[in-house]
Amino acid sequence: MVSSRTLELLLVTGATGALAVAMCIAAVGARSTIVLLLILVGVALQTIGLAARWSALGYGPFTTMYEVLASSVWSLALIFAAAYTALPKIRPTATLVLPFIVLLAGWALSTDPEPGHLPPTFSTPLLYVHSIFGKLYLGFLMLAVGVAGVIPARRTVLANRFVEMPGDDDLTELSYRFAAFAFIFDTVMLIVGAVWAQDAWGRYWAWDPLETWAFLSWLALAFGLHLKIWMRPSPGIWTALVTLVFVIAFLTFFGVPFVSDSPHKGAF
Amino acid sequence: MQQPTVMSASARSLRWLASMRLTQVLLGMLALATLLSYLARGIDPITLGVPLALLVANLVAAVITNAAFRRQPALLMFHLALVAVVSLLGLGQLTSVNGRFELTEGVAYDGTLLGGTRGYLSRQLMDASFVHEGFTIEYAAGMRRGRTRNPVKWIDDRGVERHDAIGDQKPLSINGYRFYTTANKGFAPLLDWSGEGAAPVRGAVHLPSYPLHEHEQLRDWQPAGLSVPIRIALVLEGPIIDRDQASVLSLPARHTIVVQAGGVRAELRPGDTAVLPGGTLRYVGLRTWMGYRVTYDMTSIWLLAACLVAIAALLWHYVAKFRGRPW
Repeated sequence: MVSSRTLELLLVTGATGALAVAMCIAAVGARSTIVLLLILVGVALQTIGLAARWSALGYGPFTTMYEVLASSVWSLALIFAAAYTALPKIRPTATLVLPFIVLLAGWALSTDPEPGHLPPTFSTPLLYVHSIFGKLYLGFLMLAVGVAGVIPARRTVLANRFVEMPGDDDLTELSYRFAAFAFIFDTVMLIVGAVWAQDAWGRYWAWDPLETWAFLSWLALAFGLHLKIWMRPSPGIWTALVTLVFVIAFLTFFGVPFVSDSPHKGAF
Repeated sequence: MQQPTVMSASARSLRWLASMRLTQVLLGMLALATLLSYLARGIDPITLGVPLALLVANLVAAVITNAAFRRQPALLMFHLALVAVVSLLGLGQLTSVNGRFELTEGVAYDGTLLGGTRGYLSRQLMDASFVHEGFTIEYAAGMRRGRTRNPVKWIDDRGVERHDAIGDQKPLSINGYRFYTTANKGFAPLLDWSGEGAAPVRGAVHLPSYPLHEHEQLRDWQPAGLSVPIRIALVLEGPIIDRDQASVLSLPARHTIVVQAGGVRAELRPGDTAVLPGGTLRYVGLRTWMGYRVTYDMTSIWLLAACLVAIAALLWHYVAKFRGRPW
């Protein structure tokens, strides 16, 4: 008899495998429908794995590094699958985006999957709204970087993967649009988080490490969007800017919990 | 003849103040101020306030001079909402109260704070009082704190006694003040001291936070007129919280307190009396105490409203902009 924990890990490992195969097929430039199918298989397996964990523990994937990474793999793969389906012109970006998702999935599998503890202040619907908008923010920022990343990648050995993609200016514009929506999602995430913090800890903002880095990430994105309108930077500079914002956001999501005692001061 | 030159100079100044280049510089300054304050282990409102105030001036000047804002009402609304957010944050800093205090079970809160911050224009007297009526706090195995339930009572504006249970993300709201339970809580022996030739006094001695200082449940108490303090120690008959399984923290069913003063030592149960040098001590019984955080910020609801307007306007702006020119 397979325990629910083993089943969950098998499913999450299977999801990582499906995404890794999709990455390899995308890298050799094979049929995009197979890539999409494999991404969807990965998302489905990850969904069942996370649902099994949720059902066994009684709470969602919000507390440990493993849970945050595994749920992020799920959301990023789902958002990329949606973009892949809705915008066929950007499908070659799978060559750049899927390795990132697979690395994240590998990182998740290397962390301790032991259950954490859901603090009492996490028993609120605002947790779900805050998390959903956080994941949309990171997902749209990933799409912005993925699309913009094609611009420098065209000047490398990967050039032949992107010959059918639109020109650099069009890619910059699309990347800007993804970044603009990422900014909206980021702002909603911060506002919902502030409302939650007011109820949970009696303050809407306390400059704890995660809040400080989230604000820096928001400022960096605001800076980039402003610069895009005002200076009309070259595609290369835009790529560098949006990548920098993504790095700050990535560190905020997955780095700060490592360097501070808890994601939020007073959370536990 | 000189007036056009003066007008032109002020217009030039306004245009300079409204420039996007300045916006970029100020956004960079704000990020730098945030980062430096963070690295210095404490965000200073003034350090952040300067670039924020300059950004507001930059934005107001831009709204006046930049025709793009008149062409794009959603963009204008978003930026005006940002000005409102920053202004409300500033007003909140001046008028808010953020304090902490401890309250013994059964005792009405008198508005005294143990610490915290008050804005320069905040109300100095806290016109809100309540009584806490004990607590129960759930703990999961491994001493992991769960749900807090803290029954409270207060008199409302119509003079009616009201009861509720607060805890975790459910604060008590009275007259705009919001009272939150915290992880800081413990036990408080209630004592009557009758000193020789002095009026009797009653005191509650807040022992160190429990279970954080589970093995240091002692504290000195020195009633007025007594030359040496009385050392009070709580002795529990068995642990209240089981580290290996789910438990509930509340008043212990069986316990004693040990009192020591001037070489005299006595073990007391509720109702017992001890004769100590200088007077008589009666142990009334054990109560709980709860550490509370209290906040008052009249701007918070308006701040939320301004944020929601900003979000709606930004969404409207981008959707209209991108729909007008499909990719």
